[in-house]
Amino acid sequence: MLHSRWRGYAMITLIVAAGTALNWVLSRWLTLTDLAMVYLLGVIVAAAYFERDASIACAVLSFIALDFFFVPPYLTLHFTHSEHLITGIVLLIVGVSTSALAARVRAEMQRATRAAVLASEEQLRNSLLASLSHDLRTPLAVIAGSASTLRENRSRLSTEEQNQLLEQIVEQSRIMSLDVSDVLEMTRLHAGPVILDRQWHPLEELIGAALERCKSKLLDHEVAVRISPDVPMIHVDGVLIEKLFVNLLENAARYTPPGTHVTIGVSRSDNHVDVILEDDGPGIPDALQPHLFEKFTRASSEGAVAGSGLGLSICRAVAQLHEMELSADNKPQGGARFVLSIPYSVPPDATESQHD
Amino acid sequence: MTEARPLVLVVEDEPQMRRVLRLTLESNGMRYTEAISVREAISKIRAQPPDLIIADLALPDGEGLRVIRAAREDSSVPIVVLSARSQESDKIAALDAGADDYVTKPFSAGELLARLRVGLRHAAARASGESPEAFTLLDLRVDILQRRVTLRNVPVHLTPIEYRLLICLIAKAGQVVTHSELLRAGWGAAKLDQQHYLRIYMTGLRRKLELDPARPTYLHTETGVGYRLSAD
Repeated sequence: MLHSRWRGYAMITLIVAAGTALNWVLSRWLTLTDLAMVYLLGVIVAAAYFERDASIACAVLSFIALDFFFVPPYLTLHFTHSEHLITGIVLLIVGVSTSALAARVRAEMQRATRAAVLASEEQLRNSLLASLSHDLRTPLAVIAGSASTLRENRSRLSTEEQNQLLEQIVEQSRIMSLDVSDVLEMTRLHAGPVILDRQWHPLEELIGAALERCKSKLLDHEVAVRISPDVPMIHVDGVLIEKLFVNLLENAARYTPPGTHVTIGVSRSDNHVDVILEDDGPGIPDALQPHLFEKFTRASSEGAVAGSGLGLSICRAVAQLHEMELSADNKPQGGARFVLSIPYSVPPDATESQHD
Repeated sequence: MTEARPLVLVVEDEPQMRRVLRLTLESNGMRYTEAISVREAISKIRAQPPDLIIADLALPDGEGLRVIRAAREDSSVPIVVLSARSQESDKIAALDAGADDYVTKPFSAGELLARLRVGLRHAAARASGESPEAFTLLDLRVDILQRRVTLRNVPVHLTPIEYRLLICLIAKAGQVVTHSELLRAGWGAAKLDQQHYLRIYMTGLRRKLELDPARPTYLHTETGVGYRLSAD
């Protein structure tokens, strides 16, 4: 701000200097009033582009220059003639009022742009809030209901019933906590430029870490991992890519019945490493396919399946940040298939590390 | 430990959280004491050294990291951070400052107690003054005196660096060990910015020790922070 203010004053000095030079050339043909008009033009230009202070400075400077260079006796300052004083006051008034007008126009334009941006954000936020309030309130309602039932009716409940309520409280808190993390993650990914902490990671390790985190949810599923031995390390933000795998796995756990086979295959083609996650569950409903990676898309309508509906949109955001491609379809024999296509990059030479 | 029941200092400014922790700790055979600020924590640590510290990171009068550093000045008391901050950089900062482990809120009582017991166990082992002669976990046995590693009674050949990494993880079994700590253990100070060396060696170790390296039993990844060897 300070910087731009000084630049404004520098520009104003230039404007007045330019006006003075022009007047110097023209002075033999023009009257004093005409010369004042040239300065007035400078003041209007200054007022249109700079703050009020700067345009006042321009008016004052112009008046001094006019008096100094063009009012006899030349090269001296005399503010005695009342007509010159009026010229000075007019310059000042024009400067102040023009800059006030210009400021108002600028503010109006900014407000209009902001309003347009806000309107589209507003729409997104409304759907976001509607969905979120449902997703957070449902587990919260179970927690509050179970806890208050325990507090008020404990003596009338069997031990088994009490345990069921306690189990619900713990389980729903866990779900709520995951939802909140999803929301925070999504907010972080959309809040501004994300700085990727790219390091070289073996896919085996990232997939392993993701499986570990989803272990409790995949207990009833048959999981197999097949990584082809020629798969190189990948240069990625490990935490985000692990999150991507976690969300894909949670998605599989959530929308396929117990006993479903989930297979993760990793293979290398010419310029890609492909991670393919497939299951033999019911597959992706046709109606859902085009919106799969959008925020708040859910295979089952309200309530039946818990989840923020943000999981796959986080996957897509992470893939896009890494210039990877993430796609989904159904296998001909049934079941969903997700493919993450990672551009190949040459891994670092680690031979130095082998001094062992 | 002056008494059989360990004294746990909880540094936490939320009263509800303190109540949950007090009930959890006292019902599990531990003594409870509390501090609600950095200043109070430091004076309590000096006045009555606890057997274990549970520290929040955001305190009303400053960063919990200051509590960790102050405690580390003259003691190896186990410190477990309990924080709502889940960013990897926060975990690394706390571990580098001297914390032994990091549990994120919300947490389950079982998870927290398991980490506390690991911390107390390591402290007891240190206090006994004897360096452990062997480490056994499921099918894995590491004879530290003879530098011999066996898996299901079959000798496993490890390279010197692999062995040093494994020993570093064993020393903190059950606790997360940061990348920089492992790099220092494996290569000295020279390779601290070369995390991929570490990952290549951990992959090698897993190939030798794990039945399915993508679903490890012993060597777990804490992505963005480090590695953790199972405790039991």
